Amino acid sequence: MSVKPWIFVVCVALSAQVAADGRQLATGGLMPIEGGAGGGMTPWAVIAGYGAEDEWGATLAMTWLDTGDYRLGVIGAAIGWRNRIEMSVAQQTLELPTLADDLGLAAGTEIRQNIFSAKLRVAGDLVYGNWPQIAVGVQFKSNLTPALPLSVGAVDDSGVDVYLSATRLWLDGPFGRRLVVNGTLRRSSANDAGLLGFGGDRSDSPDWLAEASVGVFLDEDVIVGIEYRQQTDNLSAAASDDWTDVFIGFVPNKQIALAAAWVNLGTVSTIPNQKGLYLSIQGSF
Amino acid sequence: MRVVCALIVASIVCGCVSVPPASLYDELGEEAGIASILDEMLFLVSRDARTRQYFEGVDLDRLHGQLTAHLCHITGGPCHYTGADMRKAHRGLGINRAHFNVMVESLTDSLQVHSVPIPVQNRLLALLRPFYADVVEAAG
Repeated sequence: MSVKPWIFVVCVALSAQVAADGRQLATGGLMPIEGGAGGGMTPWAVIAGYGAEDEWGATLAMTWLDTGDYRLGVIGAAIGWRNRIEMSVAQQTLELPTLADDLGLAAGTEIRQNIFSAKLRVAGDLVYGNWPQIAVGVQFKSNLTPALPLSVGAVDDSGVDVYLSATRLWLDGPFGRRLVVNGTLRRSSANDAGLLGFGGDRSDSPDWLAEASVGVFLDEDVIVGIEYRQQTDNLSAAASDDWTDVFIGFVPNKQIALAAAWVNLGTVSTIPNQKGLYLSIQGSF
Repeated sequence: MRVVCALIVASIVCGCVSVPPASLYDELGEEAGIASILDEMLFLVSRDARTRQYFEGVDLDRLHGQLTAHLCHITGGPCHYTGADMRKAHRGLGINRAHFNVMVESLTDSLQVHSVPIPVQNRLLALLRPFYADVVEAAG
């Protein structure tokens, strides 16, 4: 199933909605590379948009990541209902000129993946009360170009990730700055988030993977931080390193958010030292 | 990595509570500074389309005096607050998160107008954070 009709439906639905703004600036996070709301590469427990308990909210985002050997583009949309449930669609397109050359594939070979996801806030609050905001989520991933992933040893062209996230914002963090911390535990068999398929010759069962983000607001609208995302190691032919990044986000108002990051993916499918720039732009409604 | 993750999760779960430094009253400009900050905040929140219904028929001068005394008191100033506690004062008003956030944003805008440094702003907001549970219906 293509993502584009869904994004169209979301846009039409949004055009009938008044912008929700019942939550504070930046509390909707950014759209990660798999859609939804969170940091740059990992989901947080926050619900997309700025809708409070009696409101809808929504986001549209585009993201680019370029390491030279790999170029990832993501387009996604998410809706949040009553700061409780989030539904999201995202389509990833990965260009891999170096790997295509190495494998003798046609120039312009791409990998594409669709991700449909849902998230439920189960307890707590990002800012108020005694508990962090806690959410559970599920991501249904479907690789639309399975030939290449299967050729490097992946077992499946689709998979389901489930995760638990806890996110907290401290108003009075270090140096009097606001501090946001997220921890996510994911159960997944995806290779490089599913872009290289699911499972492999080493293992075909899901692993528990740890992800974390720490950010500090320098000002009301500028956040800097770091992220970590553990990866599976299912493919003997395409060993995968954990991902890290250093990011800066700019949220001038409740309509737009911009993020830039320096990402280190390590070795991705036999090509070492994959570092590059990540850029993302998000609109909120 | 699992140890690091466990530490991060533990640090989130502990839910720290900030203790107000004694100087917050001074850093906000003492009683006159607090009065000015709250004057601007009340101006904004009582005219906002989302919250002005709560201020119709309210004696804003008297409310301003009570809020100033309250904030002066809890930031460590030499004031005595004799009004109702926050829970009683807001009981049954049906205030939700969106209303509360209009108040927070009005206060933040006023603090910006008064050129209050970011760390002082954040200390004040952290001090006021527990009132969310008193003011918002069904908060827990």
